[in-house]
Amino acid sequence: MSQEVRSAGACPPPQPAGGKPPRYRAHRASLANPLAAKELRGRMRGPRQFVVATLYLLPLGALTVGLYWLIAASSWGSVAGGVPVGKLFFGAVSALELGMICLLAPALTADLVSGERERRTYDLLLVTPLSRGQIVVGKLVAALGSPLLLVILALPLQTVAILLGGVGPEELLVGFAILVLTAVTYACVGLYWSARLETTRAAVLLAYATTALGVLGLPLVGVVIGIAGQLFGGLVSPILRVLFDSGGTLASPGEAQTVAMLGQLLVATNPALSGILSAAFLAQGRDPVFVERFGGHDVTLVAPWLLFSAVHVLAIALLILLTVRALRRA
Amino acid sequence: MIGNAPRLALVARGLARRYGELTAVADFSLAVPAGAVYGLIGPNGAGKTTSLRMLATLLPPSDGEAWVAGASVTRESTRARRMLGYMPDFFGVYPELKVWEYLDFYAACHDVPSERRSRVCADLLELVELTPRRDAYVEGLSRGMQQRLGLARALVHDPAVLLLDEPASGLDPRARLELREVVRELGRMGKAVLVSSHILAELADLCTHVAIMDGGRVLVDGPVEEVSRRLDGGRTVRIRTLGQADRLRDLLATQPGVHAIRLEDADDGAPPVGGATPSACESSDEAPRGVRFVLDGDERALQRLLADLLQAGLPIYSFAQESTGLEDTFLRVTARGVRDEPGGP
Repeated sequence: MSQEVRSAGACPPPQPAGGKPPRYRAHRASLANPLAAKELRGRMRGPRQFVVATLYLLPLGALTVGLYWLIAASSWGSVAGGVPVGKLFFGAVSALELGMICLLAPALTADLVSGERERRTYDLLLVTPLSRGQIVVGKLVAALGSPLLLVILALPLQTVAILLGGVGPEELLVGFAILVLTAVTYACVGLYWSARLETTRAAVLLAYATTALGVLGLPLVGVVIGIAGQLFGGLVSPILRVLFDSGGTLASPGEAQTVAMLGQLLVATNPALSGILSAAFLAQGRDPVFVERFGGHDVTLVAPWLLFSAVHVLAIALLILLTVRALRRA
Repeated sequence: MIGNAPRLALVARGLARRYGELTAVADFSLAVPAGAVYGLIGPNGAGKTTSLRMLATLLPPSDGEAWVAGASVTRESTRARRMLGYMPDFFGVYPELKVWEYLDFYAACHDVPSERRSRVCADLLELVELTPRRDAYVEGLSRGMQQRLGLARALVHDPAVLLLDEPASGLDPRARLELREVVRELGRMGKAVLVSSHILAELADLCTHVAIMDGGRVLVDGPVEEVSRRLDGGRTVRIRTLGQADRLRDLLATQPGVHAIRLEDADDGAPPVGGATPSACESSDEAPRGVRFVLDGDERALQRLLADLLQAGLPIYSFAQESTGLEDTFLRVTARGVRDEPGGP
């Protein structure tokens, strides 16, 4: 009897059954990624996207109209306080847009993976032949869709600056690039935490904490150094002198180059500072790579927007890799 | 089985899953032929879901290996996923999608070409009787409808193997019947279906094969008629002996029709027959023991076995057949972990 009723331990060797696996043509390019299509369809459907776009455009529109009215009603002409009004307008609209991007981008993506877990749809996704990389690409395309749409929606408001004068297409493009890269980076931050953490609530919290560190971290470092300079003047004054006092000198050209690059890299982590410095850089009409006197030596520097772009592209690549790893571990 | 060896759609050998000190699955071994509806039954916590998750490539086994249509679930997981459809015990849906979009999405994930997808989705909706709800939002479907849609989702890529984890849980009787019909139809279509449940009656009418699982192990498995004969038709016999329990077990193992022998630690306190006293028990160098086993055969076989045992001079004081019944036997099997002894016939 025990031979008739097969004992589980006596399984015969595996034999293929059910024929060959179905071989369908592979169409896994990112744009044809079914997950991206599904996410975008879901996000664009219903009131959510409309509400987000409205919440985003309303303050921007109000600022644009308000500033335009102020400029038209004032006696500034085309220059106010030595700065073209177009630049002032562009700077104000871009700053508000940057702030709103930083508020919206992490929240728009922090539920992309953790939401699947919470909805109990994640397993169903994992048993499809989609690889972890393809899942990330699909989610990323969806994650980028919303913030990119917002930046593009606000573009007509920014172009008003060109009409006011003082802002050229170059500035507009650099501003657009900084906004897009900021949106993508912080969207990736949200996606990473979403893949790493179990709950959307935790993912949102850490996504905002990371964004705050990225956006406010550098100014905070400046404040801390300033306070430290007051408290421990003797200890930190050589650093402060190099960083903040153009009259300070460094021992060797290599040291000056290193310190200058480190300073530039620090600035490149911050979208607001990079934007301000890029505007100044473009106004001076410098080459993308230029030589500057720093710490008593000639040092080679890179345009702030270029370094900002490089740093953020690297950060995006790193975040995608980390997200894939987090998904593999899960 | 019948003539040639069956084509095996799913084979698991010694699958185990441990979480630190805790062993969720100790030994999951099974061979599911193509076209079989294989019921996996066991109490809650038996390790059914963990086993199914390992087979579905969602959980790496700590030990052992499994093959889905010849593809290893650990080394060729992507190939294995193309060959299996999985329906978890509880799953969510994307509320923002309509019924057809939901199926279309998973079909696209499984690389079903776009020109075939609408046909595939229409056929599946027909199979699970959801065609009238094609344009409804998934969120608005009843639980039973969502389960049927989940089954259709598991079928979008025409897999050879289906893993269904408690598919009928939470369904009303009518929805259960409908789901049962669909699963039966899938078996007729030649798919190998492994369906888990903790309710025996739920699987009794549905399955061609059954495996009973408890404590992370498959205790018995095989075609339903054979397992039923073994569990229901086979007689569970309990012998009490004043000593020499090991010798009794060895002797039983050589007897035809005897299997699932299990030594029990202590007697239930029934007084020995024939005036034997506890002191007599202790003088036999062993404590009183019970031995439980299953015997395939009629009363004559029982009588022959008893005669052989007495002739061997074993100090038996009780020899009794226990009442059986499919549910009772299942409960006893799972409660005591009956399993063929290695030395059994």
